[in-house]
Amino acid sequence: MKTTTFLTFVGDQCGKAKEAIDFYTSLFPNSELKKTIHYAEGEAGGTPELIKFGVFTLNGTEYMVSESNYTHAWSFSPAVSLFLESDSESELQGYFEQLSTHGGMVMVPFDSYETGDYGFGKKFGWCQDQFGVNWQFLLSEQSDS
Amino acid sequence: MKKQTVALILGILFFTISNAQNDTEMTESSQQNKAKGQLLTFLTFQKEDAEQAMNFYVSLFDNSEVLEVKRWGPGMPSKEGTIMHATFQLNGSLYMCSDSPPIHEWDFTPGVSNFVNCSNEAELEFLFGKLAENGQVLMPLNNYGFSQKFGFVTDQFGVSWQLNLQ
Repeated sequence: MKTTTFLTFVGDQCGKAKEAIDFYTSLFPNSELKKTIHYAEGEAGGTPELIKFGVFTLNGTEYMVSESNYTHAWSFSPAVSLFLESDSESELQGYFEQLSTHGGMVMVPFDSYETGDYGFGKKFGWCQDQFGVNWQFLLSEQSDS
Repeated sequence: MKKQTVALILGILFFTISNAQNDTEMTESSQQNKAKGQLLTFLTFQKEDAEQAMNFYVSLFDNSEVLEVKRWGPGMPSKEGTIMHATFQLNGSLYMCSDSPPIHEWDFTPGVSNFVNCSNEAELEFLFGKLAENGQVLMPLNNYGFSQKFGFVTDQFGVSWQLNLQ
């Protein structure tokens, strides 16, 4: 009973899941779209252009995805974000720049928030991408930079 | 809420996190920092219940444990002793959680959920029952055509789960 993080694209994001997956898998190494099943003609919840269920990996972690054209009161929220800690500042800087631009936004700039040795890494950033998915990046204390 | 306000609040929150001097509790298995280099899912709580939720989830799934806990200290925006950030694993998948001060307009939504493929019906019904306690059933356990049995539930903490039996 493995648990897998599942992204549901609704409202304005419904129809953009493939674009999002292509964007994410192009950014992160060791990433691929593994499977997509589209809705059948006339099926409730979507049209044949929409992804009913999909599986992809980012940086080796598996994610699931679905699009739904039902009217939902909710969409993505910052309460659940995707978090990556790394020793490579340039790698994290690259992810942050890509995800916070193209229609995304910076929530907390990727920067140092304290000069000394503190409990949560050397640099930190939080952004929301163009699809509404939230990301946190943390540069490890142990990094060389 | 305006984007700038959200960013400012998160910025203040993080500045505070950054300046914390608390010791970190680590279990033996976390010494190598399993989380580094791996993309993981981060849950931000605003009702001072991150630890309760984390312990609840760890108790439900096999091969699950709390790996690292760092707590808010005195004079910080969140209540002393609540979770500044913690790392845990559920059946091998890594998660982090945090108790944020209750200042954000947003909360959990079903937009991002946890999908669990159960190995048998008893397990599915056990998990669904536990997660639905004081929660909200979005889709009751049933055959919806794509699997034997499926259910969608938001738990008492606001986190959403999709439980499936192939």
